[in-house]
Amino acid sequence: MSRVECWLVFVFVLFALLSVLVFSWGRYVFPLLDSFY
Amino acid sequence: MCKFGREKVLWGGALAVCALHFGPLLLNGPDAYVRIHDNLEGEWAWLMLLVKLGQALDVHPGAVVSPVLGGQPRMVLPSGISVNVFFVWLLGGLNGYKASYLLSRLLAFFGMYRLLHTYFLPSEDQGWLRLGIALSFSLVPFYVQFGVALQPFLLHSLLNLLRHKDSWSDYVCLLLAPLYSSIVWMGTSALLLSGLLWLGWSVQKRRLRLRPLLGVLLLALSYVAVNFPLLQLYLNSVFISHRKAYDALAMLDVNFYAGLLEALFTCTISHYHVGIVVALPLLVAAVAALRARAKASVASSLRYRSLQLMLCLALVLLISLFYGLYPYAAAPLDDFLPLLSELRLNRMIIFLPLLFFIILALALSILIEKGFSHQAAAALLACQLVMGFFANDEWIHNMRQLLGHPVKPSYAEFWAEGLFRRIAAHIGKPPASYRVVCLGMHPVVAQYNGFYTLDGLLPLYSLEHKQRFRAIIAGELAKDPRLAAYFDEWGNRCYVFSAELGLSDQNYLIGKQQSIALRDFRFNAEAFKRAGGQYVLSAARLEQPERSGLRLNAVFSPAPDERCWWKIYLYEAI
Repeated sequence: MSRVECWLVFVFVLFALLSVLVFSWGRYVFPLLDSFY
Repeated sequence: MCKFGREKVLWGGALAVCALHFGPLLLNGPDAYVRIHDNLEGEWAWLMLLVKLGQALDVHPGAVVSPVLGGQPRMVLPSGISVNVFFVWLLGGLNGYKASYLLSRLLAFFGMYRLLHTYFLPSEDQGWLRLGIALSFSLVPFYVQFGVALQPFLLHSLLNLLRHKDSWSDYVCLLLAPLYSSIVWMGTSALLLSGLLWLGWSVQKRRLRLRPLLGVLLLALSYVAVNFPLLQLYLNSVFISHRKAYDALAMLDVNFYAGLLEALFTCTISHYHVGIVVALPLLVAAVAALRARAKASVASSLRYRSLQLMLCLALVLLISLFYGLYPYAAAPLDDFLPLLSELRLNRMIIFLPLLFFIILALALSILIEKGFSHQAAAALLACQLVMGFFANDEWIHNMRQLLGHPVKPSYAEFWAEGLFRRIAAHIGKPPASYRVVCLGMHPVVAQYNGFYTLDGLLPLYSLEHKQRFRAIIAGELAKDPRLAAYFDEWGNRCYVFSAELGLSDQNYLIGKQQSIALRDFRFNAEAFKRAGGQYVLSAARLEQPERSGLRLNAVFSPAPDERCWWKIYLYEAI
């Protein structure tokens, strides 16, 4: 894997994990999310 | 693996993703979660109400929908000539919604696949990429009413017309699109962008082609025909809408830096009205695709795709900036051109999800041509699918429901038909003979259950009613300037507010287990009675109802096994 590949895969995996966290449990921390999530 | 076998595996995988996407909504039956914000509390509920009242196709200019906001013209509600109304009529509110959800996602999937195949990723060996992108697009949590699902079809037809490859199916697509999309969200934006695309194309080619213009005119005429009653109302000088007192910009932070921040936010996460997309990673991939060095042998073939990618990125930037800075630009013109704030022309953000996924498709195809491995590209697509699943609120809540940990009311709990039947029976009078208002719950629940309300959520209603209603809630508005601005400057949500509860959406969803009590609730019972009001259906208990000119008549709690979100305190005006 080239360096660009590694970085891109890292960014996407990071955001996928963040999405799981924020959209599943973020409603308890960010009141704005509560209307939907 | 042979080519045929590989394709079978890919389509099998796509079917599995679709099953995971639709499964929870379908398996939950009446306990399915349907988005409440602007959907069950508004857009979808209006269709259910119209069908229930038998007024969906009532185009008589004098027709009135009596249970809503003391009685408002039929024309303020959405057109009855629509696919969604047909689904509600045929299958009922919940199954109609499920059918529409499925149809919109399938249209999004096949439309995107076809668009990419024809105009962006035509090569046969890019099938897996087209499939992954089309699946990601179908996961976007857009509203079924607005028309995001149809955008790939519309763009495909328009590009066919511009490139002289048009057939009868393109005209049929343009003619039918208004039946499954909103004129406010999709219509104006699609016409504006199509017109600009045609103009830009004509200038660049130095040729005036009339067929694409004919296509745009056909789309415009179809929108006008489908939404004629609503447009007629705009031209009606007798009906004075609450939007005459509208100052939507007053609710926003009108300064340049707030506008820039809004634009930045929009181009990285889109907007809930058009479907949340976690877009920052795919924008990073696009920049990486443009910056990565190409081998000399493929450099020329990549030039066109890089140009397409840059054009899409520029459009995302421009649309986001237009959205963010619109209030800042429109505020000084508000006195001369009030229509600018009334019509909110910056709704073309509805095209952001489509652009985001075209960008991802182009970026990945360019990266692969520049030496990026297929495995790495597939990993990025898999991550995008994960982001798509978790950004989809309806999927999350239906999964929670399926796993036994719900946090929001299900469809059946929201309407709680059994509980409201008991309340109506307790009152014992014909519902048309008295009016009610709701506190701590969406008035549409009472409307759907047969009550005639003075409150409600509507995009258009009479200014006279707004002024009459303000007198009822003036005491609470005086306590909190934010509430006063929310009602006075905007006012689509004509609700009985409480300063103690505040503005959050959750304050109209007070559940049976919450036991919220309001210490000091100011309510003008005399103005309420003058407007025909008699009962207040409250999800919160009032500690001193007599100070508000009310008295507790009865309390309605659901049975232990009843599908019901609410516990209702019935107050009567004295």
